[in-house]
Amino acid sequence: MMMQDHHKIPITILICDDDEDDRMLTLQALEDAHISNALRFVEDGEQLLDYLYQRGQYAGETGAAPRPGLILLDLNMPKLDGREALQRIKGDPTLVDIPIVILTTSGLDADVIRSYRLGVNSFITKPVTFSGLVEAMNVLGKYWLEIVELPPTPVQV
Amino acid sequence: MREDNLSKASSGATTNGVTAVERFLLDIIDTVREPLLVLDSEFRVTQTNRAFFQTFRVASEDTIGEVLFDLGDGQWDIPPFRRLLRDRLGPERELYDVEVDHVFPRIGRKIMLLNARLVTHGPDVPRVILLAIEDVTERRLTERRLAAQRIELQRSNDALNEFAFVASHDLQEPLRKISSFGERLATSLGPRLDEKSSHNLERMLDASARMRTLIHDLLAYSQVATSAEPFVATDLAAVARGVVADLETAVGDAGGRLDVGDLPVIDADPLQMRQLFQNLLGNALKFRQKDVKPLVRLTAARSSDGVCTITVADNGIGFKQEHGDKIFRMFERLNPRTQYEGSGIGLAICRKIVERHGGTIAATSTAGEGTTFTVNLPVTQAGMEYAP
Repeated sequence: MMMQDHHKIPITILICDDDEDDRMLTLQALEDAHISNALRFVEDGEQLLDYLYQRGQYAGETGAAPRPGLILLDLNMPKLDGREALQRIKGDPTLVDIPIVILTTSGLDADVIRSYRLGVNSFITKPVTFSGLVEAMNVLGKYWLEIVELPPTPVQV
Repeated sequence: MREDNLSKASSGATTNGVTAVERFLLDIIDTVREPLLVLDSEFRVTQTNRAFFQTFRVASEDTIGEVLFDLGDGQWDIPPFRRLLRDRLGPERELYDVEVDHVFPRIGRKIMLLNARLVTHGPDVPRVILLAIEDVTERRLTERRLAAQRIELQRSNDALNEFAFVASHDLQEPLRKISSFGERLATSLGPRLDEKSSHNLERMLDASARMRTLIHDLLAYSQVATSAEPFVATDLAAVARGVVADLETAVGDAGGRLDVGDLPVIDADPLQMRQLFQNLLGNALKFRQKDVKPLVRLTAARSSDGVCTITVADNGIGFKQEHGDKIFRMFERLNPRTQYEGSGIGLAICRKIVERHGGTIAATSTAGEGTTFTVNLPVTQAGMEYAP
């Protein structure tokens, strides 16, 4: 069955966060949650789009920017922020099927509502403790990597 | 001389003597506290009063018989005055509350409120102009000063609220990292650390947790203003039920009791009422005496003058009455942190909520016996749209 098949290909998780400390904490929390998927990091919305469109520093071979099966996106970032990036990705038919989880310090209702309106798949406010973050990554890993059916990764052009 | 003027002007009487009625009218004019002018159709002053001389610091002999616009070296030759008397009064005949703001060379700025009337008694009788001038300089300047102060106060209040919100929001960021990396360190190094280092790391993490509580409460304090909701009819009984349900475990664990009397419906911000009850009841349970089962009573009474008095009485540790005001101040705490946790912001939040509702809060206490908090809140809120 199809469902069995694409579960066997581990997806790449793309993490977009401008804060180095937070990237490190997310990485360590994912490790502690025993999530062994390939991880890629970008530092703002512009880099995220460059990655997804394989342009700029990500131009060339596909290996440099494998299409992610899941994006963890911060909201407040310089240049192009997460809200804008989310809108662009969900507005592009070639990218719309990549699940996006907002992972941010903002717990503002306005941000939550707006993100869901733009088509985000989940919204997580960063837990204040590291153990909380590990727990969140655990659940996130279980849900997105084990439970849900993700669309099959299209063949890269 | 004055009598002659008036008699000609007012009634067109032909007698030279002054009748009792005329005398009476003159006395009224002179007694009135506002400056009053009677002008003939050529704008010559035929009559005026004590208040006019006083307010505009002129003498009778320089005024009577003179054309208004020539008075005091032409200092009354004010364009709005001319327009008013020459152009508007003829067709309109009566003018009320016309405000004129003018700087007189001799007496300085005057803001005047004018009533004017054109009096005609017949085709052959000369027309008379009555001009009443109220000097509202003081009042207007005070009003303007107050309005400016109000705007300034609002601005600085907004800035302060925004500062508290942004500061506490942004302070959370580095703190989250300190505790996250610290926690990580404790996990990875934990088994290898000697007792002293492990103890130090623990203290560091405790301190950052305390800082988090402080920032969280500071944020809550600033949100009393920034996240204020409009006042609506609020059933305090329902609010209390929610809070009591939340505290049930705490009450049960302490073997205590929480009694709630009849509570009315008042105009309020429901979320803030919940916060108020939560803080007051939580406080009452927290500061209980060792080995005494906590007993907390929440009651309310509505007085005839539209005030709802809410009391929260406990049998806790209490405090010296001299600290009655201090406890509502930010970060103020009467007991060591090691015995009673908290940031010292809870009661400051209570006071801010109560004040936003136009009420008062006070506490009476006897150390070792218990405390009673008394909150007075208006039952109805005028307009129901009180901006914080």
